Amino acid sequence: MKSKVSTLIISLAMILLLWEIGSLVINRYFLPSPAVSLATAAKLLTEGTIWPHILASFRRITIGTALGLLAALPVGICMGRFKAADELLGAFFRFIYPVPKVVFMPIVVVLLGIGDTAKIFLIFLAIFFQITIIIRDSTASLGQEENDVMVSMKAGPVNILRHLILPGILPGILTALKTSLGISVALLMITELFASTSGLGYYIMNSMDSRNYPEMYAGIVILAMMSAGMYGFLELLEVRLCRWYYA
Amino acid sequence: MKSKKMCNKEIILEVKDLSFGYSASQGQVLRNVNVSVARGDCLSILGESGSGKTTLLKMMCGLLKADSGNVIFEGKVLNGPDERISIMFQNYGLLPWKTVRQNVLLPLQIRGEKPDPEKVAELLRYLGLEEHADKYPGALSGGQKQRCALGRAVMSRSQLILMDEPFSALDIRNRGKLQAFIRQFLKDMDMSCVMVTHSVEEALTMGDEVVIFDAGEGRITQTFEGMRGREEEIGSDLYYHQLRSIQDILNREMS
Repeated sequence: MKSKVSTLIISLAMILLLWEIGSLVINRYFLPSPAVSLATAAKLLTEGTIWPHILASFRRITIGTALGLLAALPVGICMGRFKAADELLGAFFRFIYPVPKVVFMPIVVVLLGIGDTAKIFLIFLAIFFQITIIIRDSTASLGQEENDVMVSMKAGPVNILRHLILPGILPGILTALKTSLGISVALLMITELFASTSGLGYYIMNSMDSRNYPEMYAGIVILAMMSAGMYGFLELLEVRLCRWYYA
Repeated sequence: MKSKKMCNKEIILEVKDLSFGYSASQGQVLRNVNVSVARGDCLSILGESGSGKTTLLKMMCGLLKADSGNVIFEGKVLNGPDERISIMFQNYGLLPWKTVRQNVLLPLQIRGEKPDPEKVAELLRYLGLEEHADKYPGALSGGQKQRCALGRAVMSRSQLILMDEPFSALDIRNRGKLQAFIRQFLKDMDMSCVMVTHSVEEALTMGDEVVIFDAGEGRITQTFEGMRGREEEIGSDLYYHQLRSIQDILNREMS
């Protein structure tokens, strides 16, 4: 734990140092020093003007992810457990999975408009396809012996789900959520660029358009902090819920 | 040789004319298998690895359905899993995300019953797992895992336990100790047992009766009396004679 904290401090210090050097070398107007940017971020946070944007982005990303996970669970488990389901849906997934979901944005916007629903739906789409595959593979790789033991104890589907499948696939799900966080944030950013009046993506681009570079960098810092915070939360969940996996 | 079973012992499990094949192309793994276990006895099934012994065990606990023939448990035809029959696989089938205590209590959880904490503590003490109760299986030795699986069978209130190669995954130095433990365990818990193994020595020392499963014929070909309950004779001339004659039969079958 201690070494983890110290490596975190060292890497943060390195980022700040590179940033500082960059701002000294490049024109300060386009690249304000970290001190200026962080001070602006602190000011935005304490004055409260940026909070509605943070909350708007946070809401979109958490709802989209939660819905994606909820939809992926039954589909992924069925595909992992029943060959017929995998054969039925496998081809569809193989076709859609590698396509970056951002290409569906025009379709989503045409069908769902430019409001929150469309933004959340796009994140949902990306998470759903990503996580379903992981859940399918984790479910399929659960041990046959463990399953047979459960069946021999006359465990029904509910007990098998509760004691065998869900705990068994949890580490895979948390890892997948962590790795897809970057995709979700990227999608969030892109969706917030279009016809938005809220969200960190909008805030950053708006600051850029109005040449308010300290605020633009402050927005980027805050978005990075939000992503890092969510990543940290998932790691914490992993440590708390999957102790057996790391023991 | 006359087996003890003939002395009018009650039969707990009987396999009658059992045949089974996984698919038509692979042919039958089991062909008209007939065997029975007396209550309180331990039956050793001896055969080479991959000969279909595990398949036979899975049918004995209702995990697999026979193509023809029956498994009769306590006088009734077995139509699927029964909590009175436990199966212990080679790697014990413990759930890695549950602690030793949770694994042992799993049968109760499945049945929706509340455990009696004193009884559980007593069982864990008996199994020598008291100190390890809150550990995950990944942190246990092979012997401890095995005892955890035995505890689970006790909580299942099993009357018959089926063991698939129970000692093959264990350190050779500890085998003797664990064999003695299982012998005592079966007696203390009043459980009958079917054990599948490829080791003649194990089959002979653990079993009241030893049968040979011939993979080529897909059925049980020979029956011998085991040494269980006569452990003092292990190492005697009679024991070695028995060991050699069984080994000879196995060698002949394999060639």
